[in-house]
Amino acid sequence: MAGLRASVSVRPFGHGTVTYVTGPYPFPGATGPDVSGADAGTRESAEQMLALVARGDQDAFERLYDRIAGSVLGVVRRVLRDPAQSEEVTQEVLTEVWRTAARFDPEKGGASTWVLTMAHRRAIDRVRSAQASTDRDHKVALLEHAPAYDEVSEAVEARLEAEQVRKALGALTELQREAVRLAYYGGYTQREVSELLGVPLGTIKTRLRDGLIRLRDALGVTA
Amino acid sequence: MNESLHLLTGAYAVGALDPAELAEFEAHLADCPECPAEVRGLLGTAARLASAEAVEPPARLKPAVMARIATTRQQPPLETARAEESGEATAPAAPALGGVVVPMRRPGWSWGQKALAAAAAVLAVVSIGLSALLAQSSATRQQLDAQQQTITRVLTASDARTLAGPVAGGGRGAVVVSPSLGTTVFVASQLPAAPSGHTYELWYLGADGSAVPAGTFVPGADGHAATVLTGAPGQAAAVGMTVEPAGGSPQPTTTPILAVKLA
Repeated sequence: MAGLRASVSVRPFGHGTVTYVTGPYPFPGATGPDVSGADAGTRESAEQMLALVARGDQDAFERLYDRIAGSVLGVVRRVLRDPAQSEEVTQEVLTEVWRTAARFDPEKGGASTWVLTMAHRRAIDRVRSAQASTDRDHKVALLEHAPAYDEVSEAVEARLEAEQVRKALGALTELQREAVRLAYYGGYTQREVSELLGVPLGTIKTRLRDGLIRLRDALGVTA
Repeated sequence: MNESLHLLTGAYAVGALDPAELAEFEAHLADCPECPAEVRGLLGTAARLASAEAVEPPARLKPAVMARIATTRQQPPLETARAEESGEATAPAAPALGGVVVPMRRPGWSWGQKALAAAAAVLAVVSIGLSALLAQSSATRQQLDAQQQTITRVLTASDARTLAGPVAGGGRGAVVVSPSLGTTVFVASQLPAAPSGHTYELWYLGADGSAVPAGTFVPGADGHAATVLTGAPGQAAAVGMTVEPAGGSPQPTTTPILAVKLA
């Protein structure tokens, strides 16, 4: 049994072929006990944190939280809009990260990508199930009592990232950009995007793919 | 056929497939020699769209998440689970195979300290609330003692969080939650008396629109109240309060006059 455990927990370390596609975008504003140092070369990777989390290391989870919670909440809120639901979904996603950390497969991508994909999926699931349900209006109104939190962080790295992505989106054709925007941030299916834009479904499929490929190359994402 | 499925890598990466398309594409992904590499890159690109939206999380989020993970059991690695299912485990069928047992640890001191500070802030209100409680003729001494002990335990729990809000019609209410105890306390001050033949009722409100009764209470003559909510918050998104006919209602019959979000 010890052999089984070791093979799993050690794998994410020193895995030369893994490329960390999203890179770390910490929030200096949300400073945690991150004592790994400012040197990017020695900074603990999200993959390393996740490997420790898989073994039940709550301190490592806290460092991972500091690294990624802002992005999780950000994308969830961009999709859901409602601040209360967004925080709730963010909690669910991060708990799921803890629960399933041992099942992260570095062959399929970086740790940040894994977490943020989960966050995005969970948010669009919520949007789509909410659309299906009908009887929620007055309770939702209740939840709007809550105050909103800080709109945008002043963290330099986060702003640079946002700027870089904004530029890369700006370099797409209008149809590529609208398709990506409606699908990713709007939570619409390709069929709905096709209807919203009045463009054949086949064209939307193609634009989503070549639009993302263009973004990938502009952002230097390697995988 | 494969040709058209190849084209779905982009839609897949941005989550734009409906359930049927998703199932078909994932089946294809498992076999296709080319798609996994492209999907990896496009998922990584989509993750950059997420990072670009990063916001500063509210301070309350971290202790809430840390409290949740402290009481959430982790799944074993997939390889272990597969080996177990297929009976090919190389290790003896020890109980540990079913799940690596992870020792639970209480959240670090920083959480406890923050929670204590928050608890201290409401203690004053609560102590007055307790005296109001004592004034209630319906409650027996024993019930009050048990209730008071529970309230004290919640307020001093290392993971206690306090969430407050104004009551429509006057007064303030606060909810103190301890995820580790699974118990929620409600305290209020300057609360007007409920109309004759009526009572205040508390609710756990779900984000999906559900409302679960969490008990009724009557504030003291001085407008203070402190009570332990019945039931556990579970996935509740908020605690609400309404005015209901005496004895309480199974579902809210009036517009809530207070809603405090738990997240």
